[in-house]
Amino acid sequence: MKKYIVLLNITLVIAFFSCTKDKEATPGSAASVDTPATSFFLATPFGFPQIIIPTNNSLTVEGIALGRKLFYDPMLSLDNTQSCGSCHNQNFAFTDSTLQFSRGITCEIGNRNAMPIMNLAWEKKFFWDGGAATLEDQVIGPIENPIEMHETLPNVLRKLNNHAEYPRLFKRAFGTDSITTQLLMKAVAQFERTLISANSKYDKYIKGEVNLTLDELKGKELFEDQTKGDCFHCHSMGSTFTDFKFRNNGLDSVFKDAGRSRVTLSPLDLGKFKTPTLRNIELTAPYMHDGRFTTLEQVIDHYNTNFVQSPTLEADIALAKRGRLNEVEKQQIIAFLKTLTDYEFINNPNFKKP
Amino acid sequence: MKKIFLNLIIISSVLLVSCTKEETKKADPINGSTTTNLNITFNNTVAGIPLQIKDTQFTNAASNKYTVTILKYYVTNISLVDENNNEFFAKNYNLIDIEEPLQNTISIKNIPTGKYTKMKFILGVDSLRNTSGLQDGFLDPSYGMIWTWNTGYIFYKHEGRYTSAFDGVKPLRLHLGTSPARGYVQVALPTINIGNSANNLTIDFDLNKVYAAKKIIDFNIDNDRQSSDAADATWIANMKVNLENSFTFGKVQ
Repeated sequence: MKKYIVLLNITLVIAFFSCTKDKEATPGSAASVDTPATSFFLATPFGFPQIIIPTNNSLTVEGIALGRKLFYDPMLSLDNTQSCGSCHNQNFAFTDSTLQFSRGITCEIGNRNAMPIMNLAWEKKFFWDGGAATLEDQVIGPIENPIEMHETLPNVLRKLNNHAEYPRLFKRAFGTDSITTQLLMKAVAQFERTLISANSKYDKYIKGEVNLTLDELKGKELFEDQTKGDCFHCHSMGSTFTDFKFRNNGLDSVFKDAGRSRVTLSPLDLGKFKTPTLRNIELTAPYMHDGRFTTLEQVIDHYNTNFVQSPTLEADIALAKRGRLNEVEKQQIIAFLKTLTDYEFINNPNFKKP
Repeated sequence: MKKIFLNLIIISSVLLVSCTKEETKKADPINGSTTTNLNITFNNTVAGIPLQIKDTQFTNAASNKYTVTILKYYVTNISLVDENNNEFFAKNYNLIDIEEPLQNTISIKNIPTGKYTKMKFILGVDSLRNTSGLQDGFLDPSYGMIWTWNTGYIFYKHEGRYTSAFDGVKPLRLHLGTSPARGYVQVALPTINIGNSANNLTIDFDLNKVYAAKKIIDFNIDNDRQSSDAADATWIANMKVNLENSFTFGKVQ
């Protein structure tokens, strides 16, 4: 088994290496403009479900590099001041530092906490309410949202098409220097799919490389105990730490934000939001769709005692016994959650601003 | 009990048979018939008055005074049915936009010549194409007819102003979409002889019918709808039936 892992790691390293190599060659080398883009193999990390890349947007080295440049380019906003990276900071697992709500270019405040950008290759729907059907579709949301980057797609396309570098970079990635909405969506999505976090302390423990402390191990047990933490029902144990579903986790009895219902128009979805992954949870505070909790202690207290009843409340929560965790157990669960922090992910040079 | 059951079976099989019978046969352009091109122009009016942007004020059935700054709607999957019930499918995706007159004439290529009695189209985008914005032509998201928070197209967009019964002139923003809003429009044609005397067909659209054809829409209540709330469901259903009844045959040349 270990041999297999080593092999996988080597593959990953080679893949990243070739990516870096090519990225360096991207600017300037006019000779390669007409050569087809180099396909990029995104390896599925150990223990994760197989990554499936959509057939209409296969990964290429050039496409990923282009997406990365676009992700960090403030040109995508109306006044050229904000990029995707402005509110999705790698140091915080691509969330917006410790802000509850991000500020758009007009300093208007949003109403939902910036989501982390990681392991999106496995996600089924995007945004807190799943409004974006694909990762590609997600790309245009923040660009056009008046309280975020507040730009129009025709303007973005005009800026990109008149840019000194972009037409050539699109040509290298997609074979055409006529930049369209579709290609913009595809490029950014390609980069985002490569943002994989799979080497936390927990992963190393699973691979037999490190041991967990007694508290961390106890926390893991409580996480999976139906009568205690009972976290695993929604935050699936193992790799993704989410079931990708939409649930009402008992935050409110009256919903200020309709959540999933905004997308499905169904009253049965009122107050439901996407189960977020717990990976890097230590870095993604504040918590919940509206960032109402600043600490993991508050989060655990919510599920242990403070959840409120409402018609769409998740059954597992509705039936849970209040106060089932004591203070020591709460800290043990938090200790386990912190093993999901992935320092390699937040320091990966391939994910930084180019 | 058995009798009822038997009757039910008989009725349902009759229904099935009649359903099959009514199903239109597919047109076969290779079948020796000649083909031609047809231009279909959407003539946008308010009760017969040509629809202009700017400050023209109109009055709807609910006596709301209103203006139009943006009016766009998708006309897709046009088909034409001939007198023998052959149906020709154009497989088009067009966006009618009162600010872009050139977009309002749709060119249908290679339609078999013949006498046609009915035109059908989808007001909106079909379910297959409504699942992602990763598309070109008039389905390119840069046409501003897609929701950026909820993947899917805005089938019908009317923005302008209206005079509120409560507090003066207010913005009007009606963005219709989502599956329940998808309209299936059928326009009866006086038998038109496409390819012989007819190559330019005009379809009249009456904006006031969108707010009255079957259900009265009152802007004092429905003035800011974005099809993004469970409370929009009734409005969506009413708009759908109204839109299905807002198009009529204009003329043919």
